[in-house]
Amino acid sequence: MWLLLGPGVLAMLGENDGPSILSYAFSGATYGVGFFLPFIAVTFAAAYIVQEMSMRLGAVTHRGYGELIFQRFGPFWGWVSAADLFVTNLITLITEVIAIRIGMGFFGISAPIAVACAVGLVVLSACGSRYSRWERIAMGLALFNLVFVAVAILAHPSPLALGHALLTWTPFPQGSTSVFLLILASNIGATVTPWMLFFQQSASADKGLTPRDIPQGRLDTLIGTVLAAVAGCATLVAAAPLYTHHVDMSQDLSGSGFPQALLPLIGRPAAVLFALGLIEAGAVAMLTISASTAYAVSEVAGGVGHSFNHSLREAPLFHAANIGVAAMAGAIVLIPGTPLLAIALNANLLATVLMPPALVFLLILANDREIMGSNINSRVTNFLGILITALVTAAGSAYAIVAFMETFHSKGH
Amino acid sequence: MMQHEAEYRPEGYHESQLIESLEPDQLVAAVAKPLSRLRLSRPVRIALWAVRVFVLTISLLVIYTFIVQLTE
Repeated sequence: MWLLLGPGVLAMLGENDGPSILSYAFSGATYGVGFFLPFIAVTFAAAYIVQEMSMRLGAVTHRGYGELIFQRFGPFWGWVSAADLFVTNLITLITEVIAIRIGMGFFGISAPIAVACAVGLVVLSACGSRYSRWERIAMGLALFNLVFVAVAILAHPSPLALGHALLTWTPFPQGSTSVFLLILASNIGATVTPWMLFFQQSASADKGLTPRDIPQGRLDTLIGTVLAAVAGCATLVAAAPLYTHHVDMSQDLSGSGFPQALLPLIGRPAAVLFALGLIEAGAVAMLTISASTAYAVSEVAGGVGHSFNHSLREAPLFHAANIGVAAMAGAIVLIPGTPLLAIALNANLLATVLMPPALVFLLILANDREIMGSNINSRVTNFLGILITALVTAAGSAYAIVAFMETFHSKGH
Repeated sequence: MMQHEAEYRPEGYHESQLIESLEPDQLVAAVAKPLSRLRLSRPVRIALWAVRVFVLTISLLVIYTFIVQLTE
């Protein structure tokens, strides 16, 4: 069983990354313990449905997601999907480096050293040409995601308020519609994203999962879902004292504000843990998102190795993409004047907006009897998959349209 | 189950029993042969293009808002 744990846990905990942690924390700081606590739990349930399909596709076809799109839908759709992924991954990776930089900044470590550590981690993890070695490093780091549970406990939340919020989804957020929609879309983008599909399917194939391993793959995904949902909800709870004490975080969303602002409210140990959690969240996502980019680029390029089991000589494009995209993100963060705050805010939103095509491909592939045989989606899975696709599309476009109208009108006046 | 196994399989497809007996390195080599193209119906092709156009439109709105907010 332990040998089969990995891709599911890594995809889920890897998705509790820098921008996701900031989204959960901003939800808690803006609205306190209320609607968004059960909402986050539900988004993780949606992530399970999607990731289970992805794992099943990897186990049955032994091919990555990008590779399957390329082969079954043709080069055009293959490259379009890879381009979507590359854009969202690069922007998300920039945010991961920002999270690491800010977390380390809390301890007085300079930006260039923090960025070098972030990129160096990706290089080190790829050394050894073994998927299992890479996975052990990422898994070890990912489990540290649960540090946010400790921070939440140190914030002394009211069990009654937690229970009330989980059961009734109240208090419902009040105030600006566009802020509510931004947080809604960001929280969806924090749990259901294109890179997770590419990563879990490719990693399941790379790990050597077969149809016989699907039950264990489901358990792996479920364990990852529960751990990540607990950590995500804990982050919201940890930041809720900022709402109770009316601390306005809207002007300091880059993350430095959260550990600093929480310091007088929940104490130094908890603030230190929050900063460490930010570093961990960024570090795990650096590994998994760089890997998903490498899988996608080398899979659609075809004819080249695309596995951690391949050496640099056997899979030059795979390793170059893995390290190159991380280095590119690091370099962008170090450019003076880069709008880091704005990038951090929009990273999850972009993931939500670009998710519908990825979900449509996933649903078609998971219902492709020629390659899936008896392992195609059940009717219930299809119903839930279509519902998730519709909700993700609605959430992303609702914010985009409302924010555009507001911006357009404010420019007009 | 047996009925499904006898159905049409695209080029490059390997039966599960064969795959399960291979070592990881052999598995990588076994799946190197690409699968053949899916025969997409016209409605599916239209749906794929509709989703793509929709996403590009929404992305343009997000990019416009992002740029305007940066310059304010």
